[in-house]
This record gives sequence, C-alpha cells and structure tokens, in this order.
Amino acid sequence: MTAQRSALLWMLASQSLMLAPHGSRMPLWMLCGCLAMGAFTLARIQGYVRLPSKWVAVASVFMGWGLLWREYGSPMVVEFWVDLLLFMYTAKLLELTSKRDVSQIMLLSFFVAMTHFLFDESMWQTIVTFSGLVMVMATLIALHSSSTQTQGRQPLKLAGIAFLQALPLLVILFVFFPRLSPFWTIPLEKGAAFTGLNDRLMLGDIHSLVQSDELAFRVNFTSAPPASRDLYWRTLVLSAVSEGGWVVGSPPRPTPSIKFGAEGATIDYELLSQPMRVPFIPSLDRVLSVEGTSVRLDPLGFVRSASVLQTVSQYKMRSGLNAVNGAELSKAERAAYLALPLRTNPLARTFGASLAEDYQTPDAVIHTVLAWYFDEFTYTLNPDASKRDSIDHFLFETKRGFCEHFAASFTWVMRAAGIPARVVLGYQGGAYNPSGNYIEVRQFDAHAWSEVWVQGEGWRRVDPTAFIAPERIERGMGASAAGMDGLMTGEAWDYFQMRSLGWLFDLQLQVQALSHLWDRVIVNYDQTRQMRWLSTVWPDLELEDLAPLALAAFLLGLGVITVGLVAPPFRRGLSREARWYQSYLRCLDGITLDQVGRGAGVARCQEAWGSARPAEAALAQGFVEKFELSLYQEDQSVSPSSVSKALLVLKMRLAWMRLTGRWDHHSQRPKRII
Amino acid sequence: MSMWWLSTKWFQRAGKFRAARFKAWLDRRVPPAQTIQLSHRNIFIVPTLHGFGFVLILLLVLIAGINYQNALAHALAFLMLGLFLVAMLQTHRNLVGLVLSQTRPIQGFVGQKVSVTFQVQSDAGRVHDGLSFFWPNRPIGQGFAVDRNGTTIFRQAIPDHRGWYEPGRLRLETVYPFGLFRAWSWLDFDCRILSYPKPVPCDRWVSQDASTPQAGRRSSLGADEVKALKDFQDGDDQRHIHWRASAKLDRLMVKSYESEQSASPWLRLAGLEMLPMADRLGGLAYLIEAASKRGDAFGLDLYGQQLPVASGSAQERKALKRLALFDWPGH
Repeated sequence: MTAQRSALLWMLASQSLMLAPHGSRMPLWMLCGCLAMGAFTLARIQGYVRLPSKWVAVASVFMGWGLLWREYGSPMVVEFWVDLLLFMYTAKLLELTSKRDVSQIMLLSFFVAMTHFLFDESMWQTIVTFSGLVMVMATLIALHSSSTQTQGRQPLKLAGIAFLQALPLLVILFVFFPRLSPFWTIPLEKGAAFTGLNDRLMLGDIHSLVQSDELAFRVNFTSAPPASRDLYWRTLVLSAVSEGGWVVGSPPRPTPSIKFGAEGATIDYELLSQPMRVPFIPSLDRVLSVEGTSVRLDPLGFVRSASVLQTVSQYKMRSGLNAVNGAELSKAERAAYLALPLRTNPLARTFGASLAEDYQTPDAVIHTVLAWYFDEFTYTLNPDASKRDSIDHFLFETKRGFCEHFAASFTWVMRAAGIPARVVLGYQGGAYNPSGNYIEVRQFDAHAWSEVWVQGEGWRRVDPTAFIAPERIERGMGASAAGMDGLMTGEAWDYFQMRSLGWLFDLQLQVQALSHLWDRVIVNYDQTRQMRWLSTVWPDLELEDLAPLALAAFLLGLGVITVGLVAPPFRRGLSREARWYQSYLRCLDGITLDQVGRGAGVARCQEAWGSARPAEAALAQGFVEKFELSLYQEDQSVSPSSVSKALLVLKMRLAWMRLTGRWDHHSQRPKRII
Repeated sequence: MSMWWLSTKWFQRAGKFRAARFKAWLDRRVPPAQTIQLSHRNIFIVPTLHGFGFVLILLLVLIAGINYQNALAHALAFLMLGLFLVAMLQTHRNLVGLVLSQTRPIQGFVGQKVSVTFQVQSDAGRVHDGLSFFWPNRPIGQGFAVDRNGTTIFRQAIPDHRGWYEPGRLRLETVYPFGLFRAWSWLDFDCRILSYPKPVPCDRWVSQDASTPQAGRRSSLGADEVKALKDFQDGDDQRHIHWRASAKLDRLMVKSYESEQSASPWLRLAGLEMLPMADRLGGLAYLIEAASKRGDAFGLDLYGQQLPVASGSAQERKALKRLALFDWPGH
C-alpha cells in the first residue's frame, strides 16, 4: 500500500466510528463480517497478512448481497439499502491498494453519515456523527500530508479547525436555506418496528411496554401543566372485541351534536412525539384541534396521522378539560358499544347481567364493580399467565393484574350490564422536567382505562386502576414500581434506580431538557418554524425573499471566513521589528505624523513628537531606547518580549493620558490636513 | 491523477493556436522572475475528481434530506458545502507565501544531464505540506513539506536542442489538506540553459588555409606520411591506432601524420563540410573539448566569425558558446 501507515490507522478508526451507530441495528452476521474485514485490514497494515486475490473480494460482495436479500426479502425497505451501502463501504477494504481507495472510502463516509440521521436524529447521534466526520477529515489530512510533523494527534487538530471554520456556514445555511417540499415520495418503509402501543389490547401487551424506559413523547404546556392524575393521554379507542382481545374496530360515526360551551376550559400544548408503532398520536383528554403535518382529528376524539410516524414530529394541540354535556348516542352506536362475542367469558357475561338486574342506574353498577375491585383485587405488575377465557380467569380466579386487566374486564362487565363502554389505550401521567419545563412520557407510562356512556353526561372516563392502586395515578409509575420491589425488570427498573440518585438524576434531567430542546428547535425546524423565526427579525418577510436572503447571508459568512483564512499571512509576513514600528507610528498624533511623513526613522519621529508634545513623547522614551538597542545594536540583553512589553506600557499610559486630558487636548488640536 | 484534463481529446485537439495564446496569457499573468513569491496572482485552483465526487455526494445528501424532510440531513449537506469551501481556501493557502528561486547560470551539452537546483521556502511562517513539483512536466518531487527553513530540490534536465534551451515552467502543486482541490502554479524563473551541440567524435582535420578548405578531404588523409608514433588520446581517430606498436609497448599508440603535426590551431567549420550541419557543429564541439583537454591553444572560425587563438577553460567556454549560438543563414 502506498498510503502511510498512520493514515490507514486513521481510516480504520473513522470507519469504525461511522459504522458504530448502525452496529446494534444491522444483522449479526453482517456486524461480524464488518468486524472481520476491519480486523483483517488492521493485520494487513501491521504486515501480518497480505491482500487476498481479487476473487475473495468479489465472492464476499456477492455473498453479502445474497445474505442481505435473504434477510430483508424486499428492496422496498430502507434498511436493505442502508445495509447494502454499509457492506460495500466495508468490503472496499478488501481491495484497498492505493491512496485513491482510501480517499474514496472517506468520501463515502459522508453519505454513510446521512444514513445515521434516517434512524436517529437525537443530539447524541449528531455529536457522534459529526465527530466521526472530523475523524474522516483527519484521515484525509494524514493521507495527503508528507510532513513528519503531522503525525500523532496533529491531523485531528487540523481537521477540528477546518470543522469549526465550516460550522458558521452550516449555521447560516441551516437557518436561511429555504425548506423545499419533497421532490418525489419514496415508497421505502422502515422494517424495524418501534416499541409502543399496539392497535389492539391483548392481555400481556402492556406488560412488555412497562419494562421499557424508552421515550414516548414530550409535551410543553403554554400554561402550568395539569396534575399528574389529570394527565390521561388518549391515543386510541378500542370499541370491538375480536379473538379474545379489544381492537379498534369500526364503530359508527358519532352524531355531530358535541357542543363546547363557553364554560369549557381549554389547554394549549406542543407535543413532540417519538416514532410510534401505530398511526395514532397521543393527545390530552378531549382534543379540540391539532396542527401538524398529515394529521387529522378522528370523530371519536383522538388524533390519527396519515401514516406510521418514522421520525420525531411536533404537533400543536388544544384540548378541553371539562366534560361534555348534551351528547346523544345513536342506535347504531349504542348497539356497537354493547356488542360482545357470544361464546367467550360466559361468567363475566352472566355477572354483568345480574348486576343490571340488581341495580337500576349506571352509576350504581359502576360503583359496585369498582368497590368489588377495591375489596378483592390486587394490583401487580407480575400477573399470572392468562388462559383462554382470560377475563373470566382474571375476575374469578387470580384477581391479580394491572391496568390492562382492569380496563378490559371492566369494559366487558359494563357491556354485559347494558352500559355502552369502550377501552381507551394511551399513557397516563409523565415526569415533569423542571430544567426544560416540560412533561416527559415514557413507554412504561402506557396505560389502559375505560369510558362508559352515561345518559345526559356523555362518555365518562372510568379508570379502575385508580381505585386499586391510587398511587399509580397520583404519583406516576415510579411510585407504584418502587412499592413493588423486584416486580419490574429490565431497563425501566434501572431508570427508577437512577432516579433515586439525587445529583445524577438532576444531571440527567438537564441533559434530557437539552435533548428535548434539540428535538424541538433543530430536528423540527421546518418551513413554518423557519418563517416564524425569521419574521421575528424581519416582520414582513415573504417566502420568496428567503432564497436571496439565504444567499446574502451565506456570502457574508463565506467572506468573513475567507478574510480570516487569507488575510493572516499578509499580516504575519511583516517582521517583528516592522510591527513594532507600525505600532509606534500609530501612537503618534496626527500633526507629528504629517510632519515626519511615511518611512521616517524612530529617532526622527521622536524628535518631532518631542517638539510638538513633550509630555507624550517622554512616555515613549523607554520603548524607543529598547527598540533601538534591539534593532541597531543587536543587543542580546534586550529580549524581544521586553520591547513588546515596553510598547504595551507606552500604549496604555498614552491612552490614559489622552483620556484624562481629552477635552483641553482636543480644543488645542488643529484640524488634521489630509 | 495529475492534470487529467491535459490528456482529454478536446484539449489536445485544440492545437497549437491555443497553446500559443495560453503561453502568452501565462507570461502576462505569471511573468518570468528570478525569485517568485506565490500569492493569489499566480495560484490556480480547481476541484479534483474527488472534489467533484464530494459535490455529487453533497447533492445526494441534500436530496435525501429534502425527500425525507430530515433536518439533520440538511445540516449535513450544509456542513459539506462549508467544508468544501474551507478546503478550497486551505488548499490555496497551502501555496500562498511560498518563495521559490532557482540557481543560475547553467549550461550543458545536448542530450546530457544538467543539474539544476530550486530553493523553496516559506515566508508565511507555517508548514506547507504535501507539495509536488513537476519540471519540465514530469514529476520531480512528490510529497514535500516546506517551512521557514526551506528545502532545496536537485533536479537534472536534459536539453534537446542546441542554443538557449528553456526547460519550461516549474509546476508546483498541492492537494493538501483534503484532496478535494488541486492548487498549482506555473513558475518561470527566466531560466535558460545554454546547451552546446552534442559532441560528435570525428577526425581532427584542420585546414591551414581557410580559403582552400577542399584540401582537407578525408580521402587525402591516408596518403600522408606516417612521421611518428604518439600516445593515444581522446579525440584521436581509432583507425590511426598502430596496433603492432601498441601490442609491443602495452599501451595504445597512434600514427602521427605530417599534416597534423604542422596543423594550425584554427578549428574551422568549413573544414567539416562533408558532415551534415548538426554533426559539423558537434564535431567542432568534440574537437574543442579534446584540444582543451590536451591544453592546446586553438582558435575557432565559423565561416568567418572568428575567435582568436587562445587556451584555457575560458577559451573553451567561449568557443562552445559560439557553437551553441551559431546561426547560419544558409540552414
């Protein structure tokens, strides 16, 4: 290989850094393959092995393609193309012979960097990717350098400087560059599912969520956030039973009789959702309006997005907090919300029917069931495995469960008792982050509750869990988990352990707040936000003005960088003595300068200055002596630093003298003739 | 990777007209000088192939950012644009402030190597890394790093014609630091190599009388009486070696002819008319060198342009210079 060993080591380091973010996502065999190719190249750089025949490279590339095809089975998945790119990016190592190959790999790194952001746009990912690119630039520097001085960490330093020089242009363009709408839509989908709520409730589904500490969404309220017990984030409504579980179904559209009186209090908030598993966006209570790309309000009172969220997205929402009065339930609706399958859970059905006979009002039925739950049931995150008739099994045998059991069984019993009811899936509560003034909801906040129809009142939220384990609702998931030591496992448990460490938790809160700010301001910087930001500076900015504005700002930035880079050599080209002399000339006042003219010696200047302003010239005496000794006598005892120091003292004393005697000095001073 | 556009067809087809105009423009733009300091006036800069590749990737990243509505992919594209421009400035800056000069005067024979040295040093007080030198149009030094202390580059040129040989401009180029841009400069140090005719071994024949050069035909040589034997020296005709005497004395002896013994010190161009013109001058160069080596005094007569008889190395240089610059209207 013609490239230097150090450049090759830089190359391997930066390539590993560019592959690392994909490491946990890519198939295991591919990760192993990439590591093997990297290790082989390292051994080759050290001189232990030699380049294999060309056929080894060709064979491994074809094998990689084949395996990837088997892995994904379809070219319509983003991961397929990304992994293909990464595989080629690594397999290039098997035919690495010249400097040019190293250059090509490094250029490709910039494209690989883009693929990082397809999967993760967090602040951490950006830091990792950009540091990887600095390493890539360091590799290029080490590759093209021929100096022995640019070894060690020098290339990294130079690359860092170049990065910092490019950064202002990045910022300018990021702020001003007009955001265009997509040129064409790509039918590629992401293969991997995100953790999150499912669009059906099978017993045990939420249990797996409760173990995940992954972020679900974060909310900024314009006013003070409501208390934790009022934060019911409705995400989807399950109205039908199928295969032993609650599903969304297709309930009839509600009659559009919902009225919002003037008395209804509303709350405005901004919700920043992480990628979701289902095309539903959480919203607070009774959502009234939503702003954002491709979302709409479902008639049932929740937010649907056109497709499953792939990236972090932001929505502006408004919700009503008061209950709605005066709504009517149509016949079709009533039938839909009372429907139950005939064969499953017979015990629960007869129990419900008996309740309907015993009690006249829906309120009485609801309270009886809740009281029964309170007396005989246990809230646990570690329930027994359910059998075929899972609701019967839960209600009459184990009596141990958590929100999904309570919500599912409660709704079932209500329908059996002739009260229209439905299950609502969503999140409850959330942690308030004082550093960023927002509420953060994680997957372990996933929750299920019921809504029952009460004539004259409308849909009423009934959360059986709140009766069994009030601390879960009052103080959030952490409280109930802490009370049930050992019941939670995995990441979520670590998360709560972390919370108990004071300062570390505070630090974590700060970092999370920063990360939230990043997602809101940077990741969601789109055309609307851009116009909103820019119009705070230029109030009557039009969309068409953006392009010229961007260009002007860019050229301005480029000019500043160019001057910064190009100008210093000319200034530095002067010798130290010449700089001293020029500094000294700047100390002279106007008349003296006019008298002596350009290029006069220091002695001549001093003489003229002395006759014009003896007081000022006297200050300069110390410097002049040192300067002449150093320049003409080449006196070694006068060090350059002492001359510089004398010059500095002169400047400061002169400035002080001129400042104090400014007014009389000014009045005496004749106008300078230019 | 060097100057790929020079080998493209359209560039070659553009022909001499373009080359002449380009040379005239270059002479105005970067005038010949003994010491040249590189600045924005004499530095040229163009993206390399990899630079164009970088721009292509930049556009792809931007398109991906727009199509996926991905803010950070936008940011990456903008970072790349920033880096591209910074790379341009830094590559340019890598040449700015270099001071180059060349040793002089130089002379040599056609077809023989002539040593030339270049001095390169930095006036900007920083290290200029990854410099390559091409002269004349061939790589003569790759991967130099130059700082304030400077570097000297030794190089040999081979003149290909008699007279003032101009080896062409020195090309100094760099792709440092990122290989995205190539900055270069063509430097003319006003350097001319006085190249003497290539010596052509020939018999020594000197006409006594400039007006009767015909007497000096080679055919008449053999008819001269052999007067004595003398030691073989460079410049003697091998055909005149007296093999029998050489064998006896164990050193090469040549037959010495009457006509040569009594030769005048004049070396005349007119005396070598049986040879082609180039060889005639080459022959004279050979004879001048031989005479100078022997320490003989000689004079030079180039169809009437005469150099008085003298000896010594100054005379040799003067005579060779006359040969180098000899211009005969007849050819």
